[in-house]
Amino acid sequence: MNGGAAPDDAAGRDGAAGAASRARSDGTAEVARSSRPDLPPPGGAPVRVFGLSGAVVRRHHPDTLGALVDAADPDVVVAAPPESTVVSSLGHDVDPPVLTPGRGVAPAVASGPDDGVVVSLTADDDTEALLDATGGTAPRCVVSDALSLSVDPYERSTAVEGLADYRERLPDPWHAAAAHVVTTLRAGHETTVTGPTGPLSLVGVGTTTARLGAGVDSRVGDPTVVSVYSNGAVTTEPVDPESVGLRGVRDVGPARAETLREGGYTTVGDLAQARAPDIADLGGFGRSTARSIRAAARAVTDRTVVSTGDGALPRGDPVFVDVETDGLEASTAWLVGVLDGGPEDGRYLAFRQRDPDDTSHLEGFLTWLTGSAAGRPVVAWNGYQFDFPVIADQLRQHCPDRHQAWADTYQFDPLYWARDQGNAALPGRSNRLEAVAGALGWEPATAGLDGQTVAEVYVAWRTAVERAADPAAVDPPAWRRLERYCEDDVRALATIYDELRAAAGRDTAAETAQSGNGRQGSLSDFG
Amino acid sequence: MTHPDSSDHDTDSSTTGQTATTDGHDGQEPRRRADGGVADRSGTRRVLSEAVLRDSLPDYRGQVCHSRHLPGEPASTVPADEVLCDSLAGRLETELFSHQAAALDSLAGGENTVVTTSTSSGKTWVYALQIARNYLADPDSTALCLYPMKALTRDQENELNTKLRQDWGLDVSVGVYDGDTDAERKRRIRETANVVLTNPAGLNVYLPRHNKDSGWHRFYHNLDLVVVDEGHEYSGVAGTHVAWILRRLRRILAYYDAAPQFVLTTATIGNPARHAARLTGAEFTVVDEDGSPRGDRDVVLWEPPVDRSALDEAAEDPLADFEQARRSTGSEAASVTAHLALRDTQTLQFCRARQGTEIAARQVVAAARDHPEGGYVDVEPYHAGLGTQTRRAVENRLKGASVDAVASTNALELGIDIGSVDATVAASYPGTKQSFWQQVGRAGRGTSDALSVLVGGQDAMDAYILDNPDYLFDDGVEDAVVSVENDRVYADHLLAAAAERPLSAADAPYLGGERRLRETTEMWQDAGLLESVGDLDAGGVTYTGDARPQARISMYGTGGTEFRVVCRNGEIDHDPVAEERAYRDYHEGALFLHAGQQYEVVEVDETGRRPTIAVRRTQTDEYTQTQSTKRITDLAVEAHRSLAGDYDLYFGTGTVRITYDAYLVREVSTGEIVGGPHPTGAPPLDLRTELLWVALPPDHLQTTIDRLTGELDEELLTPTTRASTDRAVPAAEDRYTYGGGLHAAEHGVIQLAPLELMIDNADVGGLSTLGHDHETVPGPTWFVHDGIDGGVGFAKAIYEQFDTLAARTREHITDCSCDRRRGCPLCVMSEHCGNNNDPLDRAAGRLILDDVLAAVESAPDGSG
Repeated sequence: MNGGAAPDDAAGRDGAAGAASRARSDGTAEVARSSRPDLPPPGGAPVRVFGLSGAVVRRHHPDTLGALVDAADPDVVVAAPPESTVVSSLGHDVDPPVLTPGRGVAPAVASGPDDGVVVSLTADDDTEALLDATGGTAPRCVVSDALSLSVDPYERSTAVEGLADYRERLPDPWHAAAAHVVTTLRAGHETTVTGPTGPLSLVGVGTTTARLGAGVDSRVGDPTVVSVYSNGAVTTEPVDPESVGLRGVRDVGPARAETLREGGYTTVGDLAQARAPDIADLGGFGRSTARSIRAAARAVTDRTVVSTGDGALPRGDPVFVDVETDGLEASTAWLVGVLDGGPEDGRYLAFRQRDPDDTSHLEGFLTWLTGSAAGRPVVAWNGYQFDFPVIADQLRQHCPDRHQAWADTYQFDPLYWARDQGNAALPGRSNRLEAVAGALGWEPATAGLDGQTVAEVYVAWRTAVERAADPAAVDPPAWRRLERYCEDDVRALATIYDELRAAAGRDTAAETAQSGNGRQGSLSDFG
Repeated sequence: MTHPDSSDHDTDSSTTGQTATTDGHDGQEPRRRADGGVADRSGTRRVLSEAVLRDSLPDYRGQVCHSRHLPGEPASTVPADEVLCDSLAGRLETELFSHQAAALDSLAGGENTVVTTSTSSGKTWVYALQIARNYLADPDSTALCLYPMKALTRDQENELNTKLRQDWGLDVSVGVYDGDTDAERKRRIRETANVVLTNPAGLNVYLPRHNKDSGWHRFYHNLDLVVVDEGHEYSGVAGTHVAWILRRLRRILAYYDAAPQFVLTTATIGNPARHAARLTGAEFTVVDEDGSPRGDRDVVLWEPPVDRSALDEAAEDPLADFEQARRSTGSEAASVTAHLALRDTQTLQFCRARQGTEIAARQVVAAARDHPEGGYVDVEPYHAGLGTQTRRAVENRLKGASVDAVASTNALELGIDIGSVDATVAASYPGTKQSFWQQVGRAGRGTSDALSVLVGGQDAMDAYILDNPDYLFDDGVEDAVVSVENDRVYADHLLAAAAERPLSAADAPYLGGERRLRETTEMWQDAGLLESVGDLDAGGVTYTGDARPQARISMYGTGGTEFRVVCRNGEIDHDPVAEERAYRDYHEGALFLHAGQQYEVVEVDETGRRPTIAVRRTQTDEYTQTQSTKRITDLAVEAHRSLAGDYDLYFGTGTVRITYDAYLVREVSTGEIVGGPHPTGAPPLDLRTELLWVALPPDHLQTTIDRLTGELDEELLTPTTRASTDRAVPAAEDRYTYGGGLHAAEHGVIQLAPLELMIDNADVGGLSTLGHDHETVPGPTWFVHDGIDGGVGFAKAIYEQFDTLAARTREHITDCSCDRRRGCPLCVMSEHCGNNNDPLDRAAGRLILDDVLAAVESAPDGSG
């Protein structure tokens, strides 16, 4: 095993934080509260496991599924319920191996970078011999359908069922050191359970039969990539089938995708090459829609921004802003990251809270903004939906006398301007900041972090400080790394903004199209 | 949210007798009729006198079984300047009714106030004046008003605008904010409105915007008053949801340091303080002394005749046998309406039974034609399914007195302005006293005289009321029932609350109390829907589930599968159907009536993201009745009353597994079985729910049978052919007969529960059995359970009112004029019975209830 330091450490913090594991009277372990998430080792390459349900496969065209797997770029595809057996039909169409846990006569094994190993358990095989033979300090991952969640609101308890058998089947070194990817847990659900052989880190990539009430929207199993690092750290990322292939082109829904396929356009590349009048001739497309679809396809294939409207960008040098919060429904903005200048050479300022009650960083931000940066437009990606209202709400609560000054600034959301107002077609496979900037050639300096993880790290720290008898004794998180993550985001934003400006400067007469489809901003974009 | 056909309201200020003088008379002229004549007020009473009826009604057989004259009462008023500051009192041209004054006093004293007075007693005045008062003190002050239905919200917007702006000259900005409001107007309302009018389902989805928008921030920050209008509407499942939405609101308000007062208005209910408290979580002062004036009123009870010679005690299918022998409520009501309309008495007929309003309208026309004074009457149907324009046209014809009669669903119980009619006819009891009086109130509003007729329907409630008319006229009213105990509903609202703002320990007073909050938070953390590293005592717990959980909370169910209803050959505007009802009433092949139209279920699709019930319009003379088997397990006692001897009454939780396995097709007109039993294809349904059970002594079967066959000299019943094929029904005659007694007692208590409680007994189920393996059940028992997963408080309320309900049931079983051992739909038969009303025995049932009541009266704790 890989020294086991990180997971053992995690277990130790668990106890120290007071979230002791609870044992039920019948002896089965309940889910334990996990503490601060582990951050991936800088520079380590993860094993990428892509959970895909049969229901998703059944609902989408083979071209879309091909594009989906390309976008996910996994080492292994894992077939998940509902209808997991349908996924194996993909087998010959995709490169990575498809593992179907619970099926077959012997465990299947696949490999990833840095000697990473993925093992898929069958229904009841003896895995000891196989796993004993597989060692080293590589990332390792067990995929199974052997665990399930049950939620009972009347008993007010949640339990993971099948743990005792599961532990029995795995040799000890595979308990704490591996990531346990489960197709019978909800995609994206990460939890740590404790037990006699140490903690198990579970990650869902499918659907649960547990009744989760108003908390879940979908029962088809959202396609999700799990990245497993050598120290056992795990990150998850959803990949939306509606954001890839033809469906990933703005204004193309299921009906239009079908029309386009029937007309012989099966890839985004085909669309980018097409003449707008030919698209319009297929029926179901107005001329301006055809033009904007073609422009959107060109943006994707050429990895560039294509101007589609005549709206103007703000005058003046923008101030790029990104806030880090404690979750989607933010009750704090503990870090306001600001970039003053361009994507490469701009100066990065991090206004960060010093302790959980501290709000002086907000004062600091406003002092700088209304002083050194007075009169300049404030730019944030998806800012109208997230960053701007969060900042306004925080100021109203903590610095009411600053609220008006903030309200008087010129706030600009380039996502809204490009997508909702139809001024530009963007190249990303989704409209997430990282996806758009990545398509434009931007590369992050920090890997393996996302807004959700950063929020969790912050919340874990805040909780520990507020619970601790001596707050000063609580280990701080790697602030610098979190600030760097935020810096990545504002630099990504500046990259996009430069491209928007460049595209607006190019000759757009032939491409000008009206759009304004009025879609609401995606709330999944935060951080 | 609430079904549009099941509500009431009082809005129309034009007829709300706001008096200018202290004598209580509004000085209205007698209404001019279209023909230029004047309705003969004293005559309305006489048109239904025995003499007139005997002479003029072709088939009169003494159907009038009771009539009561209710004398009018003058208004009790208070000068406005005794209650209001001069600057406001000076704007009023009238005095206040005493209850309005009392409510305003209570509000001035800082109390939350519940006003429970009669229909059209001017309850709107109370909160309109409070809004005015708050506005005069602070022009930034805001108020939130919640109404059960969109249509009423628009009505109230007009009413508030008229009062506040036009009559009192205040620059108060009022806006309706709901699904029909466009985005631009919504933005303006958020930014500027003093008064926002919406419904609880809307508030559920708007609440999360509180910190995303400066308009909402302003609104909540300045909120001084929350109005919950028609609070009695919120019971059952919808009530539970509303209770949690209001708690979520209060929690967000606390965060804005806003502590608004609550005004809750309700129709007359028996437990206003408790109901208001359960609904909002706050304490209330009650104002219930009605100071509004009333005119003279006559109420007549009309019993459709039964042809007893046609009854066959040994009928294999007793329900059909009885329906054939009895004149239908619908055609009786039509005769009465026709009779009144022909005598120049404009009449509103309320229909409830299977027959639609269109059919009723045709029946009235036909009855008028057949009437000895025969002639033509102009009759219109009215129901929520009609287009707006059609409805407006009928409303205007009522107001203008240019129509003789209107056959309506209870849609016209609402406060829709139709002026007043001369008489109302109810084709069967509308289910609650509150609703009955609401209907009656449609005749002769204000101080004019009026006549109302209740034509008995075919169930135990109606029969009880015709036999015991005092029930209608005594002071007691039903209790409204709302519960916040359902843990599944609570768990969903906790997610919604977390998405509105991270949860913390300080939320406990609003969100279910310390222990429930902690345990359920932990449950969701473990399930991955709340941030697992968060802590209620430090920093809070953030929501991490899929965005917008509020949008997935349905007001119609407790979070189980919910079906949308689509029509294959036309349009249907039907609320989503919860699993519990779907399996019973919407299986494939089921026939049902909706907004006056009959539909058949053609396909039930439970797979996929949106489970669907596909129906098609149809027109048959049939209806369907579902049969079921039931098993009760996992009993856990929560409350217990030890009665005398070996008798015990329990309340607790348990699992009820119901299999709706087959259905029968019956003819509407005769009740005859014309098809089935057909399989429904529905899987078993498990309800974790609340129930009460009556545990009887182990030897009770024997002692009862001994008395029955000994001192009472009754014979044992012979099992029917059907019963011999039903494994759940005992085959031996003594067990069959005793089982029939238990079954009768169970049915009786459930069917008469609405006499005391405002509950929908279609959502209450029962099971009677000669033995059960739970430790609390040494002998025979019967259960009464909530028919909704998690429970909505119905069984609990029946448990609390058990003594009264059991006594009423005994009285009714004993007195029913059917004189049949196996009973009739007017006493112990139920159309919801999954066992085809077999076995039933009134004689054994009476002995069982006698014993239980004796045990109640001599209970050791003296609780009898």
